[in-house]
Amino acid sequence: MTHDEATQHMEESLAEALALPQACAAHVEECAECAQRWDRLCAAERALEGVEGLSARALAEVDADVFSAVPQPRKPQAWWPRLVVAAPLLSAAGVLLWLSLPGNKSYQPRGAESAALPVGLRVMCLHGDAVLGETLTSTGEASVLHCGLEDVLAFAVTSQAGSPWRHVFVVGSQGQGEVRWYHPRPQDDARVPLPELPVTNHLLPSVRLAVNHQPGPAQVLAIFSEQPISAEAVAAALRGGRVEQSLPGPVLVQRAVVSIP
Amino acid sequence: MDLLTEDRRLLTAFRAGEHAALREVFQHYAPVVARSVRRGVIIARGTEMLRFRGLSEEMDVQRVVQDTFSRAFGDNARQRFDGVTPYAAYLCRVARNVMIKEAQQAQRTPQPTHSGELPELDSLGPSPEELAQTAELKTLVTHFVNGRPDDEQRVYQARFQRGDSQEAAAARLGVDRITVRRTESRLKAAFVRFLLRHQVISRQQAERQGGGPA
Repeated sequence: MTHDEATQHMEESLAEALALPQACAAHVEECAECAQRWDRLCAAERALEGVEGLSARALAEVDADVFSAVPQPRKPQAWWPRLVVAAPLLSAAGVLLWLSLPGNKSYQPRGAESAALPVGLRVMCLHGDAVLGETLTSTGEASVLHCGLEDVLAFAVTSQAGSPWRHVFVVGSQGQGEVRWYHPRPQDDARVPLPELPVTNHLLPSVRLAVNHQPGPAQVLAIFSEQPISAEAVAAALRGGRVEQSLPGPVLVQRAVVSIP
Repeated sequence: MDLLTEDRRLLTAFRAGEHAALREVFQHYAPVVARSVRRGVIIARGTEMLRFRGLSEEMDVQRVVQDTFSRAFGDNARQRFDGVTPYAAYLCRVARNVMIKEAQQAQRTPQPTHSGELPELDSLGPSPEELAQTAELKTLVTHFVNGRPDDEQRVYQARFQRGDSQEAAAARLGVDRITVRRTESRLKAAFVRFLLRHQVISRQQAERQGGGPA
């Protein structure tokens, strides 16, 4: 490739926002004069766009190179992770429909509590797209939700204006205190920050019960905290049985029971 | 705010290697990495602080940015990311390692800073010559844009001054995205002609090669 040809390609690339043709790029790598010309053209392009690092055209070029080299994600090897991933997809439409029904638009604690709590968790039992039942976690007597082993447990969190709680940890306990991790899961970041703005029925990913639950009651705890809590601290508190007293920092613990026949 | 450590859903999708999440992360952080690569880095070797000047050649910058993300987006690297350290800082460290490796391969040695004094980050910026050229280019851009038709000026302001996406610029200007794209293309083609007409490229090249303006 001659200098003139390379120059023409460079100017066209810039004007048309295209990557340099491969042959031209190879020439620019080898030819100091053309490399200087290309550098100047690119500097002018960045000046026009008002950016310091890379122009939009250059960014698109690197993007294409990066994503042609990034390996595809590994497919899950076991059957159950697929179910866990699929559960939110299966249930999202039904949950959203359910939450949009009159009377379900806000978090209204019931039972012994007369005043609205600043935060709360709605626990729903889903079969396909249908919501079979739902309950709210409570600081008082835990209400019971009946849910089949083949069903899906969905969660929606509500946080009202002025709430001091910034994080929520949703965890279950079954049998002899065996922990069931809902949010966060052990492989995730050990915190679920609540949205900064007030939210009503903010959906969290759902869980298929058959994956790691057995028939019998499962206690569901929604632990609201000002600071993130580690999974280790939660597991230790559950083992000790005095969750509120065992966790570091101020927390608000609400409970519900899922009864699995 | 650091996007990846603040957005937990994105972090989860990123760790899972979801394509859309990786792309969002790339689009957000690539300009930051490119800026860092152009500005240069400081590394500590024992008690000595060594300085790498930033890269100025376009192809070198692109290559380092590409290598940085290719490493950082690997399965193991994604899983190892702790989700707490700001991801921009993490990427800049990866970019620094790429630059060090390239320098070692090219047998280039980083320069010690003066008397062990840790320079301010701002001092890693471009050289006075590069600053002067950048200032000149900015003046030329202003001169060029002021001479363009109104529709091109409006697209320039939306896209490059406000940083709107093509979609956002189209919505703001009340036109469709294709019109924005075509106007932008026309603007850039005109800019190249403008640079050539004013002999900016060839003159600056001559200055570089000749050691300064006549």
